Amino acid sequence: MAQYSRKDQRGEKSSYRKYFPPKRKVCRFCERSLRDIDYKKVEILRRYVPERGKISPRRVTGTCAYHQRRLTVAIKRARLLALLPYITD
Amino acid sequence: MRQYETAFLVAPNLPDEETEQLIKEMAEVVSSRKGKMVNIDKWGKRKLAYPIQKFEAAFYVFFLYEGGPDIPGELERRFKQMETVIRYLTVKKDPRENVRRKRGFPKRREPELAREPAARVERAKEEEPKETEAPPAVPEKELREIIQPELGKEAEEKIEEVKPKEKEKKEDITKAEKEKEIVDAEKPKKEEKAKEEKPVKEEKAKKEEKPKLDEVSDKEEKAKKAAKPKKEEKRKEEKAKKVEKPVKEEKPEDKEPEKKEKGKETEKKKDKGKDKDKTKKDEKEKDKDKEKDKGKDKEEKS
Repeated sequence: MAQYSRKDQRGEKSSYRKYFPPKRKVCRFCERSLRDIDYKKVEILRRYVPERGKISPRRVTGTCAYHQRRLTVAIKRARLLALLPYITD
Repeated sequence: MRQYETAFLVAPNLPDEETEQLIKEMAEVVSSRKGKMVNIDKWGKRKLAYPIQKFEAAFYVFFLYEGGPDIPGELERRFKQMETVIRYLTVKKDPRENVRRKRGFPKRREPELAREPAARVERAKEEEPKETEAPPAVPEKELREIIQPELGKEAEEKIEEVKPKEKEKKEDITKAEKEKEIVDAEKPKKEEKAKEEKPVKEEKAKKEEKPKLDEVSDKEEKAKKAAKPKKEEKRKEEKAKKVEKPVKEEKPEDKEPEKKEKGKETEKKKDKGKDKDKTKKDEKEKDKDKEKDKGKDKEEKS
């Protein structure tokens, strides 16, 4: 809720935002109302680990805080079992 | 009793028979300690994302079992001793994890939004209509609590107006929220104006209008669905009318015949909207200024 009021206060500085409002990202796990994220489902995890092998941040993927926490744990477990890379060059 | 999941990687150079035997041994460890094996999942040889002990592949095995805490301890002790097991991981499984949440997730995600994709993708799996129905009660109440003490009857009416529209708008929920907020911000000022300026008769006329609106609404809804953006116009028009009313007292009477001509109604409203565009703009500008002032005040206070 606070986001909107902040936007209002910003006013005309971000005038282009009026015409091109940012597309609202929704957490994919919330959409499916999943609670747990399995470290074995590599294909799902891989979406959140771009080329370099780093975990992509919430602001990029739109994942909610709850699932981002779960996701990082799942990715780290998958890395331990060599399902995902720690780094790629 | 708890559910654990133990995963371990067996070295690829071990012959198949021996790996099978090793898996059996491990399964026996579980059963010998009064554990209940739920599932054994063998992925077979799989390429590793990075080399472990110079192996490029490994045999993946997953045990899912129930039992006391001594079982994973014992398993891991054995894994450590064996050189053929190159990596292992034990995870506690919370059986509640697999149950879908009944209450909504973070507030920003409205139930309607959730319903569509979830239904499409996984209706086959999930059977919980409650999940989607439960959450809306909370935000509405909160809104009421916030608005009511300050604003009284008109506020209630407005909220009631907004609600049905919300149900219709499945996609524009966030917009609705925004508008609500804007309405919240604007209301106090407008009400003050209205109370000062409006004669009592007009208010009565208004109240009469609204039930009629509800009666007509069934047919109106169809028209609304056809033209979603017009709703916003409507709302703005209503606002504009409030301001204009003291000047033009005839309007409420004009409105009623219009409603009877349901089909043409929307078109007329368009025309009205054009007439009032100027007033709207003026209002908006005023509101913006006020909001800015507010923001400044807040900043100063903080």
